[in-house]
Formats: sequence, structure tokens, C-alpha cells
Amino acid sequence: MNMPDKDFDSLFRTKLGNMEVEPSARVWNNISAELNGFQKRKLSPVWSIAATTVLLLSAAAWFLTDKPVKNQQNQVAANRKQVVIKNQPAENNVKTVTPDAVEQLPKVDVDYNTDVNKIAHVTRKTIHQLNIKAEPVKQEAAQSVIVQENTPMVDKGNQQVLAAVANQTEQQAVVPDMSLNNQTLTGAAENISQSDAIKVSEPVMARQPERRKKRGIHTLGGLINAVIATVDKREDKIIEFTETDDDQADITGVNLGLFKVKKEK
Amino acid sequence: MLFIKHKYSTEDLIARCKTADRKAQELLYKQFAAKMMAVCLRYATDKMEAEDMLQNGFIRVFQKINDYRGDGSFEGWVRRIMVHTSIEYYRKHHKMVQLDIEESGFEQPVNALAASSLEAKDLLSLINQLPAGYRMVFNLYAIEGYSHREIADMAGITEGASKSQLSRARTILKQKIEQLEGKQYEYAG
Repeated sequence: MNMPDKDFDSLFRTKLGNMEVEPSARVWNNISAELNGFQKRKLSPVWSIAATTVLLLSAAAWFLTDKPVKNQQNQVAANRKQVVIKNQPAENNVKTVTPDAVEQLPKVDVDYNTDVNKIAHVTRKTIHQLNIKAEPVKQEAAQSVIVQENTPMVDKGNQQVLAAVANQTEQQAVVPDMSLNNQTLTGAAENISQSDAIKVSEPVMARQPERRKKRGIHTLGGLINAVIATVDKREDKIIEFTETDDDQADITGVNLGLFKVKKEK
Repeated sequence: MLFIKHKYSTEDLIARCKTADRKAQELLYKQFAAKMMAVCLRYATDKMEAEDMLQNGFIRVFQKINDYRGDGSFEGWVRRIMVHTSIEYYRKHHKMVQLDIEESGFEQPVNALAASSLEAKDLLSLINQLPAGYRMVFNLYAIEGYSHREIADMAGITEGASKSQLSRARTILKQKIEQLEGKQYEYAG
């Protein structure tokens, strides 16, 4: 007897339609685990947004807090320029560094942690020390070592200005430091000739990149160094890179605790 | 099972599942798991495959439960999800067999009495032995009651392919039943 397709299909439908088979217990366990994962995944965009926000805010905070320092330094530089220009006609007020002053200056080690009065004292002292009459030198050399007594900023005596002046003092102190290494200056007579003055200005220029390092990050190496510095507080960081303006960042130092390597800069 | 049915109605469980209540999800799962496992078994080659389909199907049920508005039976809604999940699983794991078989002129004669005496598990076993594509079309058409056009849309095949695969599936099943009948006669003799 041939069975029509319709009946054949309905045989399967009726027999299998009401069938029940218990699945194994692992199925529910897997479903439950997956649903937990699903709910977690649903939350994840919220977390990623939160994490991104925190990251952006901290980055913004880092850059914003870095800026005022830069501005302050720029302002100091600007002030210095102004003062120099201001003092140019009044030759009497412009004092130049003599070998005597050079010897005394390195002692002036300004500690920024000391109170304002101390800084003021040190600053005034420095200014006093520098207030020794000598022959004027060529202007290029003079610009880098100029300190003026009658700067109105000092008289005001407010904290910010003093700090700025102290900054200035420190920067100027670099010059005598360098000058000490300069054989021509240490043995120099009271009269500094023009050619000597030019020699003084050369090491000053050579120190420029190092000064810039303090102001901010300009290279990839500098950026990595800054990041490492926030984590590694040791003097010799776990790894250090060059901060020259070259595109390449070379490793200048490695410190793995027992194993230390450091290139001389 | 009885205890669960007395304590919570399916509607209560559905409402609680909509708030992602894990206990309600478990109770709802237990209420429908065995029925849906039988559905998945028809589309699968073996029990392991069927359980994978069941798992994927129920995860989708719970993810989409807010879409169930109470129109039609909940069991029917869950079953449709199971069928769709099984087709998806099949398409992912089996290469679709695209055969253009001519409508077979030869029909295997099947003894109706012998066929009806076969147990559900025997029929299921016969279906499981079919090539995956035939099995899917036969399930969708003969048991679920979808039209060839619907099957073509769901499975991503042509209507012609659906028809030829159904025909081929029937032929194979009839042959197998004949073989079983022959064995039965042998045993009887």
C-alpha cells in the first residue's frame, strides 16, 4: 500500500510533534553563564566611556597644569628682555660680572622650598654681590649675565615677583658656572676684552638644549622620559632616552636595579 | 515540575524574565527545555549538536523576551526561535547542499501500518540520518508546516531547491522504513 506524501508527513508530525527529551544539565549552566556575560557586555560601553573620560580629563589636567609653568618661564624671559631694553640707555645701572662676582655666585644656591623672606634675602644678596663696578663688556655677553639693581619687581616684594626674580637668578647663575669652566674667564684680568666676551657667550649657547628640557616635552624621548619619571622616582630611571630634536630617540640609560648602564650626556 | 507550575504561571515567569530575573529564567527554561530539545534534535545530527542549538535558542529567547507581546502562544513563539536558531546553526556549520534532483518518478512503496508502528525515537533516528539540507527542508515543510516560499526565505535557498530536497528526503525516508519493515519480517519469519 502506497502512502500519500500528506499522510507520510503527518505521521512524522504527530509522532514527533509531542516528543519531549530532557537535555543535559550543562545546557542551563552554559545559558546562565552566557546571560551573565551578556549583561556584563551590556554594561561595558558605559565603562569604556567612563574610562575614556577619565583618561581625557587626566590628560587635560596634565597639560593644563604644565602650561602655567611654561608661561611663568616665558614671562620671566619677557621681563628680562624688557628690563635689558629699559636699562640699555642707563649704562650705570647695568652691572657686568667680574671674576670676583663669578667666584661668589655659585654659592647662591636658591632653594625653592625655603620661605619667601629667605628667597628675598638671597636675591638681594645676589644683586648686591653683582653690584660691583667693572668695565662694560660687549652686549651679547652682557645680556646673558645682566642683573639690575633697580628692577621695580624686586621692590614690590610680592611672592610671585620674588619667585620670578629667583628664577632669573638661577638662570643667570648658569653663566658663571659655565664661566668657571672657561679657562679664559677664570684667569681673566679686570678688563674683559671683546674676544673673551664672545667666548663666554658660546658655552651659554651650548647649554640651551638642557635648559629647554626643563620647560616641557618636545620629543618622543622626552615624552617617554616624562611618563617614566611619574612612575620611577629614582635618580636613574629604569630607562632613559635622549631628548634631542632628532626624530630618533636613543636610549641613554638603563637601570634594572642590579644592572645599571648610563651613557654620559 | 508540577510544583513549579502551581506556584508560577507562564505569564508570571515571562513578566519576571523581562526584568532579567535569573530564577524566573531558569524556571521558564525548565518548563520548555524538554519540548524544545525534541525540536532541536530533529534539526541536528546528534545530541551534542541539538544541545548547542537549544542553548543558543534559549539565550535568544531571554534576550528577545521583551519583544513577546502576548500575541499567540508563548510556546509557539519559543518554537519559532528554536527553528530559526537551528537553521542558523545549520548554515554556519554545514555546507548547504544545493542539489537539483529531478522529480523522482520512482516512489518507494511504504506500508502504512508498518510505518505507523514505528516509535517516535525510530522516526527521529531516520531524520537524523538524512543529509543536513534534506533534514532541514523536511522538518520545516512536513513537521513545522512552512511553505516552500517561506523555507526558501528562511534557509536562503530557491523554492525549487526546497521542493527537490523535500522530495529527495521523503524518498530516502521511505527507503529506510522499507528496510526496517524487511528486517521486521525477517525477525518474524
